[in-house]
Amino acid sequence: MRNCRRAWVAAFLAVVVAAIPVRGGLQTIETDNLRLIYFGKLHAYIVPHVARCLENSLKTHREVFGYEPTGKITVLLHDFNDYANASGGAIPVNHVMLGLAPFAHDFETMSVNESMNAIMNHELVHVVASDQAAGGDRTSRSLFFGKVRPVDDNPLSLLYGYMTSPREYAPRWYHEGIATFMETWLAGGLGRAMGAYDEMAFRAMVLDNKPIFDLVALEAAGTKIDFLVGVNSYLYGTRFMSYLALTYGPEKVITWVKRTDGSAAYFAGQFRQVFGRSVHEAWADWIRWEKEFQAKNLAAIRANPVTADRPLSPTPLGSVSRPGYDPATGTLYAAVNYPGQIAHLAAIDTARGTLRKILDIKGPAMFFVASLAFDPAAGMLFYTTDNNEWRDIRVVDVRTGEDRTLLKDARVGDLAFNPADRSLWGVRHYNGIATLVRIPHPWTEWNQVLTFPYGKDIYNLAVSPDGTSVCAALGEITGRQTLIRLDPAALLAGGKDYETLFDFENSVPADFVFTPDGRHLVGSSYYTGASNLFRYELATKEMAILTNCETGYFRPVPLADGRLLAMRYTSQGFLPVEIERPAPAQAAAIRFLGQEVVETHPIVKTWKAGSPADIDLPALTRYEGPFKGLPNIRLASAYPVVEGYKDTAAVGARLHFLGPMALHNLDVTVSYSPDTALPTDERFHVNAHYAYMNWKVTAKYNAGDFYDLFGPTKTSRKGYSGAVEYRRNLIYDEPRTMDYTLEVAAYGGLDRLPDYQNVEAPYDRMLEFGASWNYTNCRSSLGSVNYEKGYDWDIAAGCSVVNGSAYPRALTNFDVGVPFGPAHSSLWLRTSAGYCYGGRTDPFANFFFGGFGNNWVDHQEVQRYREYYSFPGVELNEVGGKTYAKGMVEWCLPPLRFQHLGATQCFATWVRPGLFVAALATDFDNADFRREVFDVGAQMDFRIIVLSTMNLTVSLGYAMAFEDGHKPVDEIMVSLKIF
Amino acid sequence: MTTGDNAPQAGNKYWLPVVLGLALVGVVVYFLFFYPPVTNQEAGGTIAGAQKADKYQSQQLGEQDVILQDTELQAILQNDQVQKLIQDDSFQKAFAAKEVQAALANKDVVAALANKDVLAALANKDVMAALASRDVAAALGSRDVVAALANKDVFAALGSRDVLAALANKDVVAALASRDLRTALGSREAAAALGSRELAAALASKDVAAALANKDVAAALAGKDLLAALGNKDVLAALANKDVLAAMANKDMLAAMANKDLAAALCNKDVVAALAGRDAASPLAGKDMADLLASKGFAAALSNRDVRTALDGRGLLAALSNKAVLAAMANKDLAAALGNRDFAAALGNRDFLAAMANKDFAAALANKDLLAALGSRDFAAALGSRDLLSALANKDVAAALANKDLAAALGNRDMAAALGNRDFAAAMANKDFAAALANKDFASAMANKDMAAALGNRDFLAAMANKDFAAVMADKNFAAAVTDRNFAAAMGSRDFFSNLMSRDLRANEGK
Repeated sequence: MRNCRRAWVAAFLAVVVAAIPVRGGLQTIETDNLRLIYFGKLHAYIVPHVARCLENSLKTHREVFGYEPTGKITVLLHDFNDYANASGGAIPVNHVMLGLAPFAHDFETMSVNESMNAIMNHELVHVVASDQAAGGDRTSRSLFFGKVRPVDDNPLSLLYGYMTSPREYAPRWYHEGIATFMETWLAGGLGRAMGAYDEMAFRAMVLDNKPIFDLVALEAAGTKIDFLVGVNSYLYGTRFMSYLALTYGPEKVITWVKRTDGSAAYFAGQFRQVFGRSVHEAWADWIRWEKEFQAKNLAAIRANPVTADRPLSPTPLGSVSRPGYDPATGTLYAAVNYPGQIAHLAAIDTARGTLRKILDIKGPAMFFVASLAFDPAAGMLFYTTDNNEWRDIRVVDVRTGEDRTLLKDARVGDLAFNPADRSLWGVRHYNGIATLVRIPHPWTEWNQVLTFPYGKDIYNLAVSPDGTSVCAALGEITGRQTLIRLDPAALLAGGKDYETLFDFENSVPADFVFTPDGRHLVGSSYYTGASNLFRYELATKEMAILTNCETGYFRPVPLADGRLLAMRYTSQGFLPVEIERPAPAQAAAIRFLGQEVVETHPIVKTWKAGSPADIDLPALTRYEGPFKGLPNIRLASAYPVVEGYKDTAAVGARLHFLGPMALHNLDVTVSYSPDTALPTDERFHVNAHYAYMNWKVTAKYNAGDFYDLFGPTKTSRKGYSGAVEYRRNLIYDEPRTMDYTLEVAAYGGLDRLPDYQNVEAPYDRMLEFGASWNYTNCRSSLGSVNYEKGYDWDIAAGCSVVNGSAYPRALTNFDVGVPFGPAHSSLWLRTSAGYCYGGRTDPFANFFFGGFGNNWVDHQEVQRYREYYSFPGVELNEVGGKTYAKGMVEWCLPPLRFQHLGATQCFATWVRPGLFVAALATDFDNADFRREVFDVGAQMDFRIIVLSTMNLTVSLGYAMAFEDGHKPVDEIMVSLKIF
Repeated sequence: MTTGDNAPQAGNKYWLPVVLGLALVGVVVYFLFFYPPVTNQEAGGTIAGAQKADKYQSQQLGEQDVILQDTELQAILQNDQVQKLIQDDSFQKAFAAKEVQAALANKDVVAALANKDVLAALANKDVMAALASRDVAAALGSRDVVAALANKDVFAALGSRDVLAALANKDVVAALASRDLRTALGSREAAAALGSRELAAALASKDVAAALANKDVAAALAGKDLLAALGNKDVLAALANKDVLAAMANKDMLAAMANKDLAAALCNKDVVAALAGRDAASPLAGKDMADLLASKGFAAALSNRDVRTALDGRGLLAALSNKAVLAAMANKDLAAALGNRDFAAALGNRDFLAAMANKDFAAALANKDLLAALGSRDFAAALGSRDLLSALANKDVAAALANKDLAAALGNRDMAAALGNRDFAAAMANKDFAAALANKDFASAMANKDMAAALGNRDFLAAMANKDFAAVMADKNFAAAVTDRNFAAAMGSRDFFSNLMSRDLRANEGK
């Protein structure tokens, strides 16, 4: 749950949305350690508890890590997701973004007690790990007035960032591993370090003889191509931390992570200092140990007969939803998500073992993909989209393919179909509270049935065939999970009672569904440590185990003839299987690595955090009231910079001012060129940017640019300018978005056109008005590096006013792409056309094209050959015209992944080839001026990771351009993009 | 191993193997069924054949460790009807309005919303359904309503269960669809009124709710005058009276309320003060009053300044407190009379009012002939005469009018016309004549059709106006004579009266 950059973008969006007055405005409560920002009355009910949880977790982190925050921890509380979501960090300031919704329980990937407590226990570790400072860091922070956040327009900031917070630049598995390790022991053993899913994942790797990733391979490929992608950082990190704790003691793990005087700055250096060997060696030791540990667990399982099953698909399906089954056709329907394919609804012929795609799913969730329910009589498959935001409910007729939206932003999932009255039942998450809802046929609205008190979360619903019972799982604040039954008729009459069928203690009773005769419930549980199937007899109230699985069985579908369909976990994902009439089985327990740790090192028991209720919040509160962004703007950092200005170098400083949650953002760079060849009035440079919600204001004076030091592309310009930009989002339905931008800019003292460095400006003053509109809907599959299908449409219009004359212009770009050939390969058609008004020879009345556009050292878009103004092969800005039309066909080939190319500090992860052919016609309305140019080219981009978090891209490009009456020309492009 | 008396007997040589055997069984049983030990967990459900995995867990949190606040509001927000409301564009617009935002920032308002009773009421499904309706949403989108809601008095009122119960009523909700009503609600006066407990109680009444649903009523309510009236504490006090409320529920009354004139009249501060008086309370209740108010004539009457002034007087109110008068007032003939300007003016006359207040007159009014008479144009015109009015105010006349024959006579066209005659009116005003009229024989005689015809004779009327003649008529004996049919017939002849008018005769009669 940690991604700093994305978190800041999300924070920005969150605050933009928060500007909607209906939410009641932002409020805040502050203590010495905390600034908690929340949406007024809507979330006020839980604010004191959240504040207490932070103070409570902080108390334990103080004791364990000896940590003192260097500044307030700003927490933004929101409800933008239907399941728990959070991120935390310390750069440039301590912050946590916290979603209110309950956790998802699928496959028991998370074992938690109350979610705010669990999230704080976890996220504050991220703050501790990056904020805690030793002597050198403290000196750097004083020098640079704070913790420096690296920015792509000035790469020296990366160096300063490392100097101020070296531990930030450790791999993700390190940060997530220590956070999940600590979350477990702060909660008294409830967390991922005692996770059954984690045990299963590694047990499956050993069983399938799938290599366990080494340090470099994990970051280079394991977090990109495996069906678990970024989740691998959590799995591996937790595992490694627990192994170290078991082998060397938990205190040593803490000593490794703590940043105190005398400790090494880089995480790997500190590892050697603490453990006396390299992290690579220890990692290799762990892999060996893990294989032995899992071999013992497999042996324990095999002490009893292992359940036999018949695979229903030739290959595993990655992540899967709860399926629906049509007994008439023997078809299993499920939402699936695996690398190389866009997440989609699939129909699996259980007799033939073939798979047919029904349609793509928008917004699939990592583990459960989507919530599904099926009406076999009518062939209607209900499913949810936008599963990571606010869920919609849709329905597709599996016979005709007709698909429509039933409820937009309903925020309902855990769907179950009631065949008796054709209603849908589900669970709605709103403001952190779970409500059982009913959606009566024809499913145009949802009705509240039973709202549970905060902390009680109902999930995994099922309705009996006769519609007289609903069964579900219920989680509580303590972490206890029970299987319950509810009476729909009583509930609809206003009743609130339910019957507890079975207490699973801390194990999730997953996907319990009714047998076709309604007499039993069948579901799965990690009761023995491995996930097996269980059957509960409603009449006798007895629970029996049905399977003994080496990895884990999930999502059972009991058939009328006694057979069971289920999903079996493999190292490639879930495989649909059939189990022939299972009978009560015997299954031995496995051992948990977390249990080994606590038995060997009981000190972790003393890390259990106290009760948040013991925190005297009123005594700690310093302010409570409306949130004021402007008065809280502070200098976040200031550091020296080097820039290029035309062909000279300049030195100066950059100041970064920031408000809480980055609502206000001001950057000012000031530099001076000592080169006496430059005229005096061009030696001083200023570049200032201010952003506030939808607004951006820019002011420049002879603005320099770091990358101009590495020509040929120059963005620095003589003169002054001021610009105001307003951007507004019209549709935010990821991945579908629509927005528009309005801009006005004024220029003075120009010698070159602002957008075309090789074109002299005949006048030194210019006013520009611009408006653009963009509509995009592009998707990619797990493990991709490009978008693989979709469309992107821009329309832009502008007008330059120069010397009393106006030069309006307009252009449009439209790209459309489809998957093509092997996985991660796609074909794109990119088109563009434009018109300028004015004299044909007037530079303000022309578009100019030419070149790849990449600088030798760059920070802008790597694949600039896709931009409308690029035309690889010809010189920059060489081809001009009042009108133009351009088309390009591009084939994005699948990336080639590397697993062992480099070391921990610097390694290559993939190379992406692309081939293109393009045609450009300018002034096609005037034969005298018309030009028609063609090119063909290729570009390869190599991605390199530095210090675990910084991306470098080395690009090599070649293109040849052709024009009637001209000799072919070519261009070679070499570029290093930083960030 | 023990010693002494308790030492095992030397002869029991198998004790050691037995003890060892038992220990062995115990060990075997332990490892079979109890190992490994359960750590730090309560025993949950057990499953045969499945060995439970060892997982350390020491509970960190229980329910008592999570302290929340204002959970009632959250409970309300989970409701599907509330969600519809929140997502409605009008509602959103309303809540985005500065006034509402300011209101929500107001501590009193927040306290009101936080009130458990309010929240519990809001949680009521019917209330929610009401609030979620498009009508309410549209209302909330209206600037006027928003302005009302922003008023702290209004919000305080919303804390009242009664008001909330009203909001749950679909008629009330339907009423809110009316632009007029919404406009009304936006006024300062309405806001102040809504803050009143009395009005709140009124609004909670089903009857009132039904009234509000009537579009004519809604239109009337939008009138400035009525709104101003609602701002009057006397009116509000009146509205607190359950009799008044019951009256207001009457559909005829409601129809009446829709009459602009009546509405305007009712808004007059004099009327308001009168209606608000304690005296007004009882008479204003009941079907009769409702019928009265429902009559067009009454409405028109009330538009007359004199009538309104009269209403201020205790006289009319006292009259109205008499059931018979009220019943009479309900009569359509009288009601029609009320439409007559003269009659209306008469109502403004103290004497007439005094007459109305007299129980005999009231009893007389029960007579349909009298009522018919009263309804006649002539009579109404006659009422313009001060003399007549003063006559009617006389208790003797009033008593006379109680005579059913006389009352019947009054129903005669001639009689009615006579009443319009100045002379007759003057005669009626004469106390002697009044005394005569009090004599039941005389009164019966007057009822004779011939007499009535006589009354149509101008000369007779002129004679009647003569005070001497009046004195004669007051004489008991004369009264007895007049009962003779023949006498009456004679009096009815033209010649008789002509002669009567001769001075000499009058002079001789008087002797």
